Amino acid sequence: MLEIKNLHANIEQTEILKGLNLKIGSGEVHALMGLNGSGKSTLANILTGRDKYQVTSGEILFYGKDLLTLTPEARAGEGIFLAFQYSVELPGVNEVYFLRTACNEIRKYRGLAPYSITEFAKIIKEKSAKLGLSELMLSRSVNSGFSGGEKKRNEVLMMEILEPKLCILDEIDSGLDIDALQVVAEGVNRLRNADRSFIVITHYQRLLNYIVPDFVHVIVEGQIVKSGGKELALELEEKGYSWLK
Amino acid sequence: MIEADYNIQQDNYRWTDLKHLNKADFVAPTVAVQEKLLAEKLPLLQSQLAENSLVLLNGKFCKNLSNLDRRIVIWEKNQQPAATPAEIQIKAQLSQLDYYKQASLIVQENREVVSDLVLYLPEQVQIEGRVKLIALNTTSAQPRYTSVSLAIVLAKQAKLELEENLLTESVEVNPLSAAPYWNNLICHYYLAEAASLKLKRLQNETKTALHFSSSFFYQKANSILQFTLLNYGGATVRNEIFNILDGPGAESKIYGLSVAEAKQHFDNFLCVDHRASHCSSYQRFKGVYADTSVGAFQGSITVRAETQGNTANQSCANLLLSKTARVNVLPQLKIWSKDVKCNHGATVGYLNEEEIFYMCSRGIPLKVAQELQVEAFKNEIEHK
Repeated sequence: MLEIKNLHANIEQTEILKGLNLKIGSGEVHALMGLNGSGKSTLANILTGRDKYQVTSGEILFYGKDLLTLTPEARAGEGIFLAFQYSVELPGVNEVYFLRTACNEIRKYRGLAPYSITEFAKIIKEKSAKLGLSELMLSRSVNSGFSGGEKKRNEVLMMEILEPKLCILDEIDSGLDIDALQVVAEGVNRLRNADRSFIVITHYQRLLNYIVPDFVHVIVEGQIVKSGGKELALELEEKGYSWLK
Repeated sequence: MIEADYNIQQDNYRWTDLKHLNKADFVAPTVAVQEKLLAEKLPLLQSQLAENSLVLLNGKFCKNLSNLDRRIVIWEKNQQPAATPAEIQIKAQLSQLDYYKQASLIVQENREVVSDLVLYLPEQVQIEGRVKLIALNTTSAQPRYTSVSLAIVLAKQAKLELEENLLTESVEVNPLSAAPYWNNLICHYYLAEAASLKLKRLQNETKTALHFSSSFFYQKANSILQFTLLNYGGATVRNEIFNILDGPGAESKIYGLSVAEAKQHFDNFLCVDHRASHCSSYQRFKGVYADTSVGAFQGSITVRAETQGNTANQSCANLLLSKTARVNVLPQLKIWSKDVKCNHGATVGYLNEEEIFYMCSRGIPLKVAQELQVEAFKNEIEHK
């Protein structure tokens, strides 16, 4: 599904990724762990097409397509989804209107018929109820006035609605209490299937108790220095990162 | 021929050059022209009429096309025996104010004259639903001048919701070869004790129009005003808004939105005067400027020394859609009272890249994302 080869990338002339390699197969869940500034979020942003990061060399293939030549919206159409660490508020943009616009743009990209207002209302009602998002929240502007937990649940709602093939969760556990974490993790686990893969970026092993990964990778100074199974996360929890430098 | 007077407060006109007003010979339409136009436009105007509406054609009241609620009393300039007592009272009080004396070229022209049309709501008359005023201007091959002179007087506890639609039609000439026209509006709104006025003005005139307006809102105790001004049309647009809070407990909310493109020039000049205690005022203006358009906002709040417990809040936010668009903002607070809560803020910026990227990452094309953000910015005011 996804193949990253020898990826080098800068932000404002500072090299963050220094030859990163990663392969992800369909249906796999990969956890990406590392210290602050190691390059985890940079990778997430580059995968989604954020233009403030410059890729200086290397390539990213998504189902064989060169991802780096695509616009952010085309990547979303291809099936890339980033659940943001800090969700962006869109004052004045109604949540349901936004979601329907996004959903229908992606359906158009995939050659599918758009949902009517009625069809979409039914879909969103069902999916938001599972995540405990009230109708009142859906009537507001996107993420405006939402609590930290509500924002994360809203990211999961978007993920459910947009039906991506690769979901990147950038520290989705940050700022969440245990109850909210369980709701978010249940939402993510509902989406797991043989065709959908995940990159779970986190600092803490705790999240991986709820979203159990198939692989764990440790990123240090812009490179993946160690990969293993879920037990690697437990080892990191015990020893920290210093032994990997 | 109508000429502009340049000697009015130049400082208040720092961002709008009046000299080009005298580049053309603006002529008011004759009675014969008006009658011919009215006959031609009658079916169209009739088709647009809703219940409770009022029509002005090139600034002149069309009685036959108006079907207002019978409780609204209408006085035309030449039909009323004299100005209404309320109107005399307004003019007398306003004429003592320095800024009224020098407010605009329009007031220079008309200061001592009673309004052409007065709508009067007697005490406790509360009109349900929205009254619609259609002010249609027509273009011609010759530069045309039109003037609207209107007073709306709400007696004690009267209530009115009014929508003013300012439109242009090219009837005598191909729109592309129409000469510019100059439209002056002088509107006085008088709110007696506990009266309530909700007013929305949609200025959607042709993009060659020169639009100048002076709106005076005079409020007595416990009256409530909400005024929303939406500017879309016009080549050069200058709106002057004066809000005089002259009775304890008066409240006003004034909203403005300017959406400009090409070479449009929009200048909003606002003056709020707290002359009594325990009044509150709120002003929120927004502007969206594309291409080489220019915007200006000059807003002042005065709180008089002898007053207490006033609150005032003013903000102006502007979105530039191109590197060549420009906006000038000048908020002014003149606070002479010690017991007051007053604040103001102004911003000028470009589209938010974080928000745009967030939308694109959800599959929304860049252009649609930009449009959504502009719409979201405008929504707050447009839907008031």
